Amino acid sequence: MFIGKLLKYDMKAMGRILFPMYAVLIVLSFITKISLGPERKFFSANVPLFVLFIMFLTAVSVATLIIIIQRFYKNLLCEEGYLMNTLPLKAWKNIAAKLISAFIWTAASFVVSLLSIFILVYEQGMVLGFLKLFNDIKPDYFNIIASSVLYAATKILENILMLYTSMAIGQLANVHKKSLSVAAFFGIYSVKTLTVDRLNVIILNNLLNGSWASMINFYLIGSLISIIMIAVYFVVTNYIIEKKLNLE
Amino acid sequence: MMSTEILCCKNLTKRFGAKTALNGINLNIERGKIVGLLGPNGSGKTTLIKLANALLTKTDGEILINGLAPSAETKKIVSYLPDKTYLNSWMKVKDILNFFSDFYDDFNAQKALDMLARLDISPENRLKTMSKGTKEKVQLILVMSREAQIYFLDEPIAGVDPAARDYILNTIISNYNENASVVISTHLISDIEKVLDEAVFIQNGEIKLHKTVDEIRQENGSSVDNYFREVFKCL
Repeated sequence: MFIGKLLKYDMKAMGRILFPMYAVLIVLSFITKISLGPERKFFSANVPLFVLFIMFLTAVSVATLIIIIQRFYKNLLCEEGYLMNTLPLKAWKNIAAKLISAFIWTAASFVVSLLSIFILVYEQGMVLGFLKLFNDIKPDYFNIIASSVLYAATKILENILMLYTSMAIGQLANVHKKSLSVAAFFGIYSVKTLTVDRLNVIILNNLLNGSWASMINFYLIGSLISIIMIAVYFVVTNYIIEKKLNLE
Repeated sequence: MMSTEILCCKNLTKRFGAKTALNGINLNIERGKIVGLLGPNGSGKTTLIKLANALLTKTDGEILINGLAPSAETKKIVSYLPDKTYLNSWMKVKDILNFFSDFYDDFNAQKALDMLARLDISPENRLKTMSKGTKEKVQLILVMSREAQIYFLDEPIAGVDPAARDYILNTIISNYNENASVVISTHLISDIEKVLDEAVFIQNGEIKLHKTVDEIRQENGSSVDNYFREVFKCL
């Protein structure tokens, strides 16, 4: 099993750009927070600093997306692919390691972004307030939180794999690989919107009746649909990389 | 059981759209040979090597490494030097050594360190700061430090200075065992002629000739380089 070793390199390659960005974001949120003064006067805030913070917050999300695409494209389908695709391992391990590290860094970017906002709006007693809130939560809410987290996680995985599948299809071309990747992405996106997403809406309309239970069911069914899509994307990407590789 | 043929192509064909890169070639390479894959640019040398490494997919025919189609299993015994720099720029040489140790059971890190020292390349150097020629040397050292059964070297000396060429050629002949084969693709024949056992001439995706270097010399009374120039002179 080489997945652990592959993961080590993928995590490092992506983290070496994202980690410094996280550090800057957190520092920036502290500085912005301090500039607001003790009364948290958002309207009298240091506007350039505040804008900079918002811009950097956005930059972290954008960078995460770009790095996910780049790591797959450059490491498997460009020059570095000559090394990665001749390692003595099956293609699915390469794809799985990329997917897992992309997922972990997406989650990390989300958590760090939330943390930076939390720092900005923090006031005394907030942490205790949150803890109290969690204590008061009824068991029912745990189910809804768990199912919505599952839903979000499967959606993230599904979307990352959709990008991978588009790039795998794109590299089949002998020329204009990037253009075909983009075309494949919009092709898959359109088909998905017309079929799977429409099915999702129908389920939503028939299922939701305002109760927590119907909400939980919606998340679970949505997750199940995502898991099926994850399987389809993974099988297609793996087939192309394993059997139809076409490196320039 | 080891078959005597380490590489076997039967009617191997590769087309890119309408363009035929390899046109039904038949080629057998035995163990323990250093074989020159010689031909002009665009003759199909790189395509053949990439098919052997599963970086391209064949259109027709068969290519077998040790009796098996290219797969994770064959990649264990194939050591491949592409004509591209596949090393990323942000790693240090020692990181790449660790990478090879992580993934190849047959990688001899000590051998690699010795060769790096001989060429004055520090393991602490970052690949970003290296010249193209130095990167090629690092890649060749990595590839030759594996104890593989077949080595595919695609233009291994094209970018390095003449002083390093001799060292590299010595590295190639002294770093493989008697059961392993080395396939070297190049158009710089005179430089590598002295290390070759066999020569394969390839042109327009077809094998023009596959003979031992001794046969070529005896039959034609000239060096492989001169004979190559004669065969391809009309180009």
